[in-house]
Amino acid sequence: MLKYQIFFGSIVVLIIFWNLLLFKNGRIKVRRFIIFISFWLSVLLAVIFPEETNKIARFFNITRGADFFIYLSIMVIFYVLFKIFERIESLERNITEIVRHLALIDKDKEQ
Amino acid sequence: MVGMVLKELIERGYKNIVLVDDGSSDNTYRIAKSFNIFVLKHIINRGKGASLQTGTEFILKKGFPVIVHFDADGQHNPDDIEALVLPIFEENYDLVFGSRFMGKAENIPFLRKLILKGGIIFTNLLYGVKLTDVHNGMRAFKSEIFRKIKLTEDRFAYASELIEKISRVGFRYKEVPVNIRYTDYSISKGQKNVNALNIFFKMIKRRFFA
Repeated sequence: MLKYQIFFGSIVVLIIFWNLLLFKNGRIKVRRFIIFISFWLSVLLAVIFPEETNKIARFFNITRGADFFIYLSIMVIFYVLFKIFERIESLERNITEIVRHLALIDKDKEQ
Repeated sequence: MVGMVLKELIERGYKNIVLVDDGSSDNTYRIAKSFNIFVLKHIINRGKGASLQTGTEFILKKGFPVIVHFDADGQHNPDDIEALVLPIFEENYDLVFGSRFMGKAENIPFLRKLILKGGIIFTNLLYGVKLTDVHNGMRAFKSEIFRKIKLTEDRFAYASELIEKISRVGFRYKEVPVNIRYTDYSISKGQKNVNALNIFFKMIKRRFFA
């Protein structure tokens, strides 16, 4: 095994254990747990068998497996960012509704 | 400044004034309460769009027939209110927009003018409307139109949201000239030029992804 495989492999194993712990303590739901574990197990496999990722990459006409994963990661990161922004906007709207409700209730009480 | 604006409005005989204090940390609330008007308070700052919607919901509960948006930073002229409201009563318009480019925009900074003009062209193209000023805070409405539309954009993007919803429902509108006074105070309280970019993205999102 090469140094980078040991380094990245250990990090991924730690993340998998951390996810297991979160699931065991009921802090993440089954659906999210399955998505996380599947994702990190695929990363682990890609780290251990990098040649195999080249095959997937070539299927998409990309030369190196590493490049394929970089492109994929960028897409995933943007998707996650978009989802986070959506979530923040939804929270902001809810906060506004609460603040508005309080303002109107206070006015009602006053009158 | 808020006290001066309220005094000007009351002097002209306007009685049903609703002021929304949007989480101010200065004396705004105390000053506003010293006048015989309706004062609502947001416990934290939620933005101009959110404040206008709060005021609107209060007005709908009260049953007032017409709403006029009027900024408390001194940039609007109370003498323009009559011209805004008349088309609603006399010509049965659903809403009337104030336009600084039909009227007078005193001391308007060049960059602000450039951004506003770009915004006008873009908004007209995007929503199929014909307006000469799209981010003017002075407008008058029949209150009942707010039973069909609700502002959900908390901050300055509410103005574009309003136009989008108005064009979608098909309300009758017109523009009348109003005068805007740009002072250091009103510029510091108003929206920043850089905010135009944020509004631009929100408009694209609302139009194509909402």
